[in-house]
Amino acid sequence: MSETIATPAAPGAQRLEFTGTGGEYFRIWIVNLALTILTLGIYSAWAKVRRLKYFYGSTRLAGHAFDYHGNPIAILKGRIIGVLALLAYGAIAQFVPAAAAILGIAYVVVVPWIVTRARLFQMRMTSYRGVRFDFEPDYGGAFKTIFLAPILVVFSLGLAAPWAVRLRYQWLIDNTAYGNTWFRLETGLKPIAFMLLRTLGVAIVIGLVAVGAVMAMGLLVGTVRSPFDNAEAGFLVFVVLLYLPVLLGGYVLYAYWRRSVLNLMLPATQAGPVRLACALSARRLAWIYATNALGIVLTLGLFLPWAQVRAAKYLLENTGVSDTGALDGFIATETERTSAVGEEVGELFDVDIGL
Amino acid sequence: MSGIAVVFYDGRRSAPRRARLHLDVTGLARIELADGDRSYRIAELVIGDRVGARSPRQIEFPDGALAHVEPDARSDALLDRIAGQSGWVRRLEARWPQAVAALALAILAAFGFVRYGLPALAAAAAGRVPADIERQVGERALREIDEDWLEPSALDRQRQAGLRADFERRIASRAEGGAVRLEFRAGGEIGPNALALPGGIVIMTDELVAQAQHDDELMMVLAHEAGHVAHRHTLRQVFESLGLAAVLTVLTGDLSGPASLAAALPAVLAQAAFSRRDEREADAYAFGWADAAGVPRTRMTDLLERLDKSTGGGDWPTYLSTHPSSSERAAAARAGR
Repeated sequence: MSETIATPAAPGAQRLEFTGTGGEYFRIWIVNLALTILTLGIYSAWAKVRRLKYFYGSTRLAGHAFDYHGNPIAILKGRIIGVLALLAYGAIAQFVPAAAAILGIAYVVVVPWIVTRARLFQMRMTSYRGVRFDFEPDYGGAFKTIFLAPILVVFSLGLAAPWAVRLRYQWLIDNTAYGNTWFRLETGLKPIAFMLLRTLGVAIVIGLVAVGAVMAMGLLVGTVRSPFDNAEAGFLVFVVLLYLPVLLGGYVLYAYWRRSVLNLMLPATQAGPVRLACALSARRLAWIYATNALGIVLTLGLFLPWAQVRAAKYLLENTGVSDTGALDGFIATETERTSAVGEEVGELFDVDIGL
Repeated sequence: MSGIAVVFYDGRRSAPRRARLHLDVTGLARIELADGDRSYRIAELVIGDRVGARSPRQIEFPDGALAHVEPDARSDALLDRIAGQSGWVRRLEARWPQAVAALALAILAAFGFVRYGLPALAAAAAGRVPADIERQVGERALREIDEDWLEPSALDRQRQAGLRADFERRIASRAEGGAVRLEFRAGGEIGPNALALPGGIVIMTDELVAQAQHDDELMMVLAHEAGHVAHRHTLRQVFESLGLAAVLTVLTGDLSGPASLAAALPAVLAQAAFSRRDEREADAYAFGWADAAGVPRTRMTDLLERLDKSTGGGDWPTYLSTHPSSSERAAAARAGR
C-alpha cells in the first residue's frame, strides 16, 4: 500500500498536490450543514474542524499530507465569545450612540489583536510531518499594516504603496515559522512598484472595456425593452445586465492582482534551505473565479463546494518548494496552547489579513 | 496480528519513517521502528477520524509524535473499534443518498425556521424591548430622517391643529400598545407618504394631506400607521433581519463578492414577504378601526388609488414588493363588508 506517500526518488523542485474533489467536499459540506442545523449551530465548531481537516488532509507535499489540529471545543468557546461580542457591539452601536467614539477607539486597538491572534491560532494548529508551524504575535506590525500603511499611502499620493504591500507580506511571512525555522521574505521595493503599475494599467484597460460593454448592453436593453410591459421590470433587467460586465471586470482584475502578488512574494520566500515557488496564470485564475461565481449564482449556492475545491486545487497545485530533499531536516519547537477566541471573533467581524 | 502500516513522525524532526502500529488486547500500542520500538497506552492515543477518501487518518501520541494511516477499510474498522468511535459521520459523508437527504433536511429546516420560527421569536423579542429604549430608538430615527429626507411642514397651523385633534380624539385615545403622536413634515423626495417609527411616532407628509379629498381618508392612513405601532412592526423587522443574517451566516459561512450577493437574494425576498405581512396586519387594524368608527373602509383604498394614478406607478412583481398591491388591498377592504 501507500505508494502515494513514498518520498520521490529524485529530490528536487516539487509542487503541492491536492487530492480533494468537489463531489466529495459537497457531501462533507452538506452533512456538516444539516448537523449544524439539527444542533442549532453547536455542531458548527465540529463542522469547521472537519472542513479544515479535509482541505489539509487533501494537500500533500512530497507525498505527505498536512495536518489540522484545531479542537472543536476550543473553537466552540471562541465562537460563543465572538457571538456575545458581536451582540454587545450591535446593541451598543444601536442603543447608545454616545458610545460611538469609545467603540471607534476600541476598534483601532482590537482589530490588530484579533487579526494577530487569528493568524497565531491558524499557524499553531497546522503541522506538516509532525512539525508545527508557529507565528510571532506581532501586534505592532498588524497595527502598522492595517491603519498606518493606508494613511501613508493616501498622504503620499500612492508613492508609499509598494512599501505598504511589502509591509503586509513581511508581517505575514517573516513572523511565521516551521518548527524552529523562520520564513524570510526578501524582495526589493522596485519589483513591487512595477507590479502595482502593471496592475494599474490592467485596471484602466479593464475599466475602459467594462464601460464599453455597459454602453453596448444599455443599447441592447433599450431595444429589447418592449417585451416588458412595465417600466420597473425592464429596469431590473437593465440593472442586472449592467452589473455583469462590471462584475466580470472585477474578477479579471482580482485574479491578475492575486497571481501577481503570489508569483512575486512566494518565490521570494525562504525557510532555511527550502525556497517556495509559485507559478499562477492570471487567465486561468480569472476563468476559475468568474465561472465559480456564475455557478454559485445559478445553483443558488449549491455549487459552492465545487467552487472552493477548484480554486484551492489550482492555487495549491501551482505552488511548491524548490527542494524536497531538504524537507527532512527541520526541527520542531515546543508550542504553547492557544485559544481560538481571536480567530472566531475575527471570522464573525470579518477581519483578516491573509495571503 | 500484523499491525497497521503507518507513517510515523516523531514530533521532533520532520523526517518521516515507515512503521507498523500494533494494538494488543492488554491495552498497549506499540510502534515498531527500525531502531527500536515505542510503547504507549492505547487510552493515551488521540485517534482522529478520516475526512475524505484519500486523506490520511491522524493518530496523536502523548509525547507529541504523530502517525498517519493511509486509507484502508480494515485499518479504519480496527481504529474505530479501538477508539470507541462508530464512524457514522464519515459514513454519512461517503455516500450520495445521505447527502441528498441532508440537503433536503437543510432546505426544509431553513425554510421552516424563516417561515414560522423567526417571526414568532422576533415578535417575542420586540415585545420585550423596554419602552424607553424603544422611544430613544424612535427619536433617533426621526432625527436621521429629518436630516436626510424630510423638511419642516408648510401646512398651515390651523389645519395641523385640526388634524392632530382629530387624530388624538379618534385614534390615539384608543390606540393599543402605547402612546402615539403625530408629526407633520414636508415629504420632499418621499412625496405623499406616512410612516410609523418605533416608540409611537407617526409622520404624515404635506403632500399626502394635499391628495386627500376627505379627512377620513387621512384618518384611515393614520389608523394604518397606528396599527404598525400597536404591532411593534419596526422592532420586529429589526429582529427579523438580524435573524435572517444569522441564518444566512450559518448556511453560507465565508462567502464573498457576488456569491454572497446571490446568497442574500432569498433573504431579500423573505424580508419583502415580512414587510407585506406587516402591511396586511396594519391594514386589518385600520379596517377594524374604521368599522368601529363607522367610517367606510373604501376611504383608504380611494386615497391609494388616487396616489397610484398620480404617480403613474405600475406594480412591482408581488414577491419583490414591500407592500401588497393596491388591488389586493382594495379586495381586502371589500371583503370585510
